Amino acid sequence: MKGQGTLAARLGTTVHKSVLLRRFARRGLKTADSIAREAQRRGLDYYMASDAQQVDTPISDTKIEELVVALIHPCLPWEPQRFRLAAALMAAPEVNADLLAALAIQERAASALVAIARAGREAEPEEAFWKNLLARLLGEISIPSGVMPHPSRYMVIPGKVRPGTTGRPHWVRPRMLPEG
Amino acid sequence: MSNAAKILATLDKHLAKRTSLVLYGRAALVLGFSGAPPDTALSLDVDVILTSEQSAALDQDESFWLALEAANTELAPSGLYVTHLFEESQVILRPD
Repeated sequence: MKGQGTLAARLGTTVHKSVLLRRFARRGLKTADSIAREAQRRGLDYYMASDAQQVDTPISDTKIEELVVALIHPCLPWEPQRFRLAAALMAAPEVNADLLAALAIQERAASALVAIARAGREAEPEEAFWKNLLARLLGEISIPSGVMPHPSRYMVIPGKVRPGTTGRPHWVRPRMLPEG
Repeated sequence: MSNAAKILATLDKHLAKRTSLVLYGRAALVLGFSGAPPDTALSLDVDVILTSEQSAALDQDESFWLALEAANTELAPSGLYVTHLFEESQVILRPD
């Protein structure tokens, strides 16, 4: 486990052996792609390729906060599309900011989480969730440019919707979430 | 009792067999040196270095990972955890 090609390598840090990823693997989600597909099943199906094969076992007992942290995990290959899934999933109304921040710190995934939360706060200054989340991720975290997607990639930006009118950009959120 | 001692006592309770771990960071200082700075007792986690051989062996030992999960679950209300396990190749020592 040397970490080449991982988010950790892009951030200039090391990889560790993750308890969270181990738990996901035990439940059938052994690769970054399978974790992404689990997120897509949680209401982000519009990110799913039309020819995608449903081969993984859904892990419905996995907390949404755990799934978010897995999507931005530093020990997995760098893949901006997974960061977009994480950004959308963490904006679901039932996400617990305390739990999400604690899990991200435990799994050394706070940098990516901070980057997304800063973009969320910028996009939705009225949304308390982003401020609450950032308040729990203390300390200055700097992220090398080009590692995380541009904030616009987390949003739908309608542009011109009719003559003289521009649609209001909005943060992508899950279409629906399973009960429980 | 320091946080590191609480964390390791909790992990020990869940381990199915004797397991040796090499600590580093603040947990190692507070447990290994009587004159450690006071703030070392307040570390919320325990960092562990694994040799490549030990890492490979633990990869095959599901009971170890279940014990880690159980310990973290038990510790969660107090904000403590043990999850930072690094292979020796991932540890860089600097003068600062």
